[in-house]
Order: sequence, then structure tokens, then C-alpha cells
Amino acid sequence: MNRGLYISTMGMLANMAQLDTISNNLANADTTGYKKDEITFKAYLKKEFRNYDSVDIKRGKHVGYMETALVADETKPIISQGQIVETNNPTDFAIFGDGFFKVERNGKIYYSRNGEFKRNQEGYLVTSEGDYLLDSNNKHIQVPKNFTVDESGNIYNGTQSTGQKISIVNLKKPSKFGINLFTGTEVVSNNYKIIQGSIEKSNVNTLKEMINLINANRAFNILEKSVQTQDYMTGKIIESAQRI
Amino acid sequence: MLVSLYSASTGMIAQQRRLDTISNNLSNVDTTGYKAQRIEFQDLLYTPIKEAGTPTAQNSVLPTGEYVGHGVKIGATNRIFTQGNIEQTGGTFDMAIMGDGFFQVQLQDGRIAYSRDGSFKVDSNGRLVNSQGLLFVPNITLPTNAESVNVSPDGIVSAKLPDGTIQNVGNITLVKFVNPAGLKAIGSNLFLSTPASGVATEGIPNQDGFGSIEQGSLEKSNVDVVKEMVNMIVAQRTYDLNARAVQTADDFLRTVGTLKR
Repeated sequence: MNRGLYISTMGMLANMAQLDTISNNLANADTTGYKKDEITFKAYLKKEFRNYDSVDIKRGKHVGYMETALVADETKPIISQGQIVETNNPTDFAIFGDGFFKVERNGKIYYSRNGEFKRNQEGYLVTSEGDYLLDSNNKHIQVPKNFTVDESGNIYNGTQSTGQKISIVNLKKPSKFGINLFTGTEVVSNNYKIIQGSIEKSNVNTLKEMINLINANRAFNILEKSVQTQDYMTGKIIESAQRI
Repeated sequence: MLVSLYSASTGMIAQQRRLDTISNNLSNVDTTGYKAQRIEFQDLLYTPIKEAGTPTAQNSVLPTGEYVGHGVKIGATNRIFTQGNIEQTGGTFDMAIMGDGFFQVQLQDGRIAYSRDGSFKVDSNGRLVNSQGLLFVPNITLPTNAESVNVSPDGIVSAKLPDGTIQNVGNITLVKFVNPAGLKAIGSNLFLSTPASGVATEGIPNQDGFGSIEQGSLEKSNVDVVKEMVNMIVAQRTYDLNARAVQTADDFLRTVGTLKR
């Protein structure tokens, strides 16, 4: 069968995968601490083209290569800084720099850039899901009503330290879990500042996403034409074969 | 069908809900004791298409894999209990709380509701009630012949009688919660306690952060109009972008439908 038909179709599937990624980014353009996904594609099934009608009939002459297939390769979160916006809400924190908050959910540890915390009925800092924010000893963090947090994450009641420090760690291979959480391998982060009373917006660049959207859309329509053309050519071959 | 069609539509729904919240905040910008709400979003779960760590060749594995996200959901609408502006009204029974406390009123069914709205009145029997006629807790009854009434910052209510004597008629107490954001709003500027808010602790105004009482003033809402307007612009633009993604997904599907002639 016609190889081009399959190459075009693979391209269309890749565009669909790209649209899925763009849509999820746009849907979360307003999600605090959201990190955008980027999808990469790879071409494979490299074929060598040789010319056999010249010098060396047996071996032929090397002309070049052509990739005959395209697939979505991987999706990965892009951990870049989002914009910091002041909310004046004392239980909101933003991380400026590298690292993640540590939260405990059902006894497991996850990581998050979403700093919209609450003070629950026992005075513990929790996420809107009720997951506990952890300190440097992996303990839940209990804060007084009018607490303050310095840039390194130390918690104070007035001028008195409460002895707890918000833990910020970096991740080697962050991967998304959903509900604003990440999983990954912890490494030390030394380059961060915690800003109390602010949140970090998502790092989705809507203009970029829009350009990608237009790109994917146009590429898809062009590939459609290519599929139709090849279909038409195959049809022509069948027609002429019938006339013989 | 396409995941994007649904994930982009969750983005539209989320922004619609955000606009609802903004509208409610703006419509209550002049409501005494109103506390602004904030909507918080979360990304939904991710479906792995290729698991990270899958071998790709002899000695290499996929570093991150391929996954697809399903859009956004509303995590919470969180009420922000920051102090609103204090406005001088000169009303005898207008009281503003400068701090974290709440007034208590008794609902028709006997339950206690909590409020920051301090525009109280006196009914025909001299009892202190709120604008809906709900009784103030603890009950305070003023002598009908009182010439003037004074409320001290720590909640002592005293009346001046025609013969010039000052009569102490009761003490106002306030309550506070560990997590006021967990209170349930029931309309009419009233809240009920929930397991999330914790139980009300009662105390004397002007002590332990209960807040002092300022007679002749009211606390306005804490809605920041500029912030709300900026959020409205962001909501509209995000909505438009997500609508565009839905249209693109639709275009893809239409294209697929016309592939075969």
C-alpha cells in the first residue's frame, strides 16, 4: 500500500496529541502553581535512499536518508518560574526560585508549587484537599493565628520562632500526579525564597499555546489534503487497471 | 473522541465558575461585613500513554514518558477573612469589630449563627436584634427610657437614664474560630460553624485577639474592586482561549469526517 498515506496519518495523530497537551495547558492557565507540559515528537524508521543506475550497479550510490514515521515521543512538565501575585492572605505562600513544597497525602509524600494553604480547625497548614504541609522534619506544621514566615521558611509567632521551618526541596525528575501535586526524587534546593501573602500563577504562556494551536491546526489540515491526494491517486490507479 | 475537546471545555467551565465568584463579590462590594471569596483550581489526573522508564533501546529508558492531562477542576472556593474598611456611621447600635471576632445571633430554630455585620437595632421590647430581627446573643435588653447608650471597646453596654444615672445593661461577647474559612455562609451575612471551622470559642472583646468593638461604625466588605476587575479580564481571556481550543478540536473531528470522499 501507499507509504505516504501512513506517514500522513501518523502526522495527524501527532497533531492530535499536541492539541491534547495545549488544551490541558489552556484549561490550567489559571491554576495556581501549575507547570505547563511540553510534548516532543520524534521521527524514526530511517530509510536510506541509494541510486543504482550510475556508477556501481551492485552497491549503488548513497543519496540520503528519509524518516518514514513520526510519533509523539514524550510529554514533560516545564518547571519554570510563574508570575508572583500578591494576595495579602497570610496562609498563601509563593516559591521564588527552585523547589517544591512537601505535602503529605494519605501517608505518602508529594510535592507542589501551589501555595494556597489553609489553617484547619486544629491550626495546621493544609492544602484545599486537606493534605498537610510538611516541615524540615517531615512533621505537620501548626501555626498560631498571626504567624509570619521568613524567606527561608522559618515560622514565627511575633518575634518568637515556633521552631518549625517549611521544607522546600527540589526534584530531580518531577512528574505530575494531578491535583497540583508532583512526584519525583528529592534533591536539596538552596536557591529559593518563600514569599508570604503571595501566590505563584501558572507558567502557561497563552500566546505560545495559541501559536502552537494554530500550527497544529494548519498542519492537520495540510496532512488531510495529503491523505486525500494519495487516496485520489490510488483511486486513479485502480480505475486505469480496470480499463486494461 | 478527542481528549482536548473535554479538557478545553473544563477550562471554560472553570472560568465560568470564576466569573460567578467575581460577580458575587462585586455585587456585595457594599454589603456590611461581607467577606470576599476566592476560587482555587487544580489540574485533573494524567493518563499515561507511555510510562516513564519504559525501555526504548538496549540501554536507554524513557525519561518522562508520554501522558495526557484531562483539564482543570475547582478545588475550593475559599473565603478570605481579612479586615474590611471601617466606616463611621454615627448609629448608636452600629458596631464594627476590629479583629478576628464574630457577633452571635440566634436563628428562629434556636441555632446560633455568626456574623461580622454589626448593624444592630432595638425592637419594641428594647431587645438588641439584627436587621432581620434575630436576637443578639448574649441577650441584651435596654431600658425603654434610655436617653443614650454607650458600648465600650471591651463590650460593656451602659445606658444613660433620664435622671442622669448610668445603668450597666450587659456585656457583649464575641466568638472566634481557628479556621474561619471553614464557616458555612447561609446568606443574610450569617455563617454557621462546621467541623472544618472548629468550634466557636467565646471571649471578651479587646482581649486575646477577639477584636475591640467600635461603636458608631460599620465594617464594609473586604472586596478589592481593582483585583476583581483584573480577575474578570483574566477570566474572560482564558475563557476565550479555551473556547478556541474547543473549536480546534471540533475542526480536527470535522476534518477526520471528511477524509474519505
